[in-house]
Amino acid sequence: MDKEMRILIVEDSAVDAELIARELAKGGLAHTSKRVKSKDEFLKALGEFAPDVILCDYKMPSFSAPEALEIVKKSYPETPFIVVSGTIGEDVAIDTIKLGATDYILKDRLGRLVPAVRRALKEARIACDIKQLERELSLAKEEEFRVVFENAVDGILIVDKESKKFYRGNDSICRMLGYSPEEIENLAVMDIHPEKDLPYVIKQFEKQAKGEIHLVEDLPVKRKDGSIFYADINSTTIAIAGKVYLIGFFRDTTKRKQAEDLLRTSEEKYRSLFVSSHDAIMTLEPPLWKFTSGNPATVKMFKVKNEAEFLTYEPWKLSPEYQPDGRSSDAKAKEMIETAMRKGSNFFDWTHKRADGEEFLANVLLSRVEQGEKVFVHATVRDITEQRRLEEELRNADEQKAAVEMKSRFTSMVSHELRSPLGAIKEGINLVLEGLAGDVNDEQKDLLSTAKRNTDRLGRLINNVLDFQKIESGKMGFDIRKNDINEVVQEVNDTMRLLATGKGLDIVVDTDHNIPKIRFDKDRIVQVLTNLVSNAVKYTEKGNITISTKQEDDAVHVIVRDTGIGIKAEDMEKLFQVFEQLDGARDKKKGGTGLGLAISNEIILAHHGKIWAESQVGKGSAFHFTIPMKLKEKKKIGEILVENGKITENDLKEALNKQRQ
Amino acid sequence: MARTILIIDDDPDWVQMISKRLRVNGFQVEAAFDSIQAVSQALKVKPDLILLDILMPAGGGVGVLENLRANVNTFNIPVIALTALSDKQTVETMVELGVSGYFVKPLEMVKLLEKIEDVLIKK
Repeated sequence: MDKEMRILIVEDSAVDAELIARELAKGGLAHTSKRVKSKDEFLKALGEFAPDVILCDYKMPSFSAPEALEIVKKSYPETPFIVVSGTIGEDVAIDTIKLGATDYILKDRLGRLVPAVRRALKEARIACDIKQLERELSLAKEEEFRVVFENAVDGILIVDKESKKFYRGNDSICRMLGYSPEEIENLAVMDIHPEKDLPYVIKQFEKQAKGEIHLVEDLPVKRKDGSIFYADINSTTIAIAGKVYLIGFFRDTTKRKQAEDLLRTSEEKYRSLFVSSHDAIMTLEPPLWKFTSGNPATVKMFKVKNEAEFLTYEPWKLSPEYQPDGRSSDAKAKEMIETAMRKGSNFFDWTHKRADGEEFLANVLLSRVEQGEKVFVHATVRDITEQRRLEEELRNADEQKAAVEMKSRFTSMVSHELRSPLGAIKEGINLVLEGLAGDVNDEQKDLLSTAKRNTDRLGRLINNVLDFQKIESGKMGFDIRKNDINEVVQEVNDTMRLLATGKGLDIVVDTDHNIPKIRFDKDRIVQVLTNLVSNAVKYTEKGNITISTKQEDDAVHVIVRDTGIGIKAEDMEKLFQVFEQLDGARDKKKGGTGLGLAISNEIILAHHGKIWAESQVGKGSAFHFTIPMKLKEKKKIGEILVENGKITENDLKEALNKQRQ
Repeated sequence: MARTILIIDDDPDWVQMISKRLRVNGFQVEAAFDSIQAVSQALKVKPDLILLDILMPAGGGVGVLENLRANVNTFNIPVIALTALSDKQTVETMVELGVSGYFVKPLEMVKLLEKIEDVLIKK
């Protein structure tokens, strides 16, 4: 019905013309419009453009509505002429209507425009139809009338003005209402409308009967089955056999009304979504791609004062001058928009800048929207700064985890890579030294012994370094079981005795046999005690070394006393630190690594014990450590799966414990 | 009858040394240098004992052990593991896979030889 409506806009102000055009588009009118500014253009357009309706500004510099109206009345009287004006005095308004204008609309009441246009066109068309019908009717032949009557697409009812009873109805109205022609002739106006609407219907009917109005729009009409549809009813009078009847033309507007309702609901839905969405939603229009709307979330995101302020920007104005890829925001934004226009949509990352200057990273979704004749771009913007930050954190955490993983794998590989060649070197030297590759003379023996001593030293150093690294990174697993501390003393004594007596020193063992078994990692404590005793031997030239154990409060207390050179007061605090050897050259010769005490410290600490030293220069030193009686439970080695029946679980456990070096 | 020991290790220098040591002690020694050779040598040679380097590249050691245990012809052969690792994780794995003992490199030859005798007697 609104197909390709041609609207002529006579308006000198570009802004006003734009506002009008926008209003027409918003109203969903399918139309083409043309704008003219002067009389000449107007005349030309009347002929060539042949508008269906004219919208004319009242006062223009060179031309005015009354002038235009005069021209139209003369040459195109059927064409509706609507005056659109800024301020217009009431008399002036009435005058224009008197002059023949169809309607007038105030520029600040443009909401009225579309309905006015619609109505004007409808009346014009119907007026045309009616004129047509009257012409035909006035030919007065009943057959001709009947042909028209019967074949009209519109439903036609002929009604008695007073009784409101139906005289006749055409096929179309019968179909519309669901009655047969015979049934129609027994009905009246009151029968074909919903009861609740009857007062209004009757009022309108009487106006039509009096000729006061012709068109009643969107009247609810009730079918035989009770269902309702909406119709525009246009009326005029008709004389049949000397009696004057009212004839009504019914056009079903339900579909259009539904569409309008749907549009309104969907507009309402869109509006509520627009307002309440947490995502920033906005629209941009060509050709300048300025923002034409922005929801509350947008205002918040860009930290502008309100929507009005937002509309003063283009997208690149709310972005830094350059995007991260080096392209200018201006050019790139236009390209992104054009892609969206071409392809229908475009999704991409974008760096925006808020009104206060803060830059932020965003996901942008552009969609092309067509609304009638108008095409614009709909945009959703999501601030992903937080998201990116979290991703960054996760990535860092993963990287850190990977780094820790790598470090521990590094430790394993290093230990393997360092130890394997050492094994080969040691064995090679041993084989020769033992004469298994031929006789060895004294000098060869001497040289090889030195080499062997150093491979041992290297081995100890590797062990210490790896131990220390393991302890420090918390990766050293302790095998805590109930153990006898005195057994530890015995073991260390056995190992160290030869070394001591070789120097002319005695090791004296003084253990308390009543000490119960307590929980500790035997091998590690052996390592600690060995370290202390070996230091004692190293730094003692004469006298003896005493290892004593006793029970004290809630702990076992072990002391290693020597009669050696002692430790200077200022060196005492450095004792348990890494790589602090107190006497460089001598220590190196003695094969120390500088890590022994540091490792012992860590081991004792891991057992929640204490380790310390007392010393007097020239007299000797005493190294103490304690292990608490109650220790936290540590995991044991898991169950053993024995495939081979010959080896029992106990065998393995024992064997493994014994063989661990 | 000479007893055969198969040594599986990817370090040829180390293999040279330990083979010499073992031969001097009366053993016959065969060697395999990667996890692929390992199982095929084991099947061919049918040694009385296997010395296995656990930490071969690409995790070969533990894989070899699994393969040996899975093969009906080799699962009975006692295995002594040599490793540079002494951490609990590896120990547990080896125990689970049924090694007869393990040594950490660099090792004391004397103790290894004792152990070998132990294991072969018990067999």
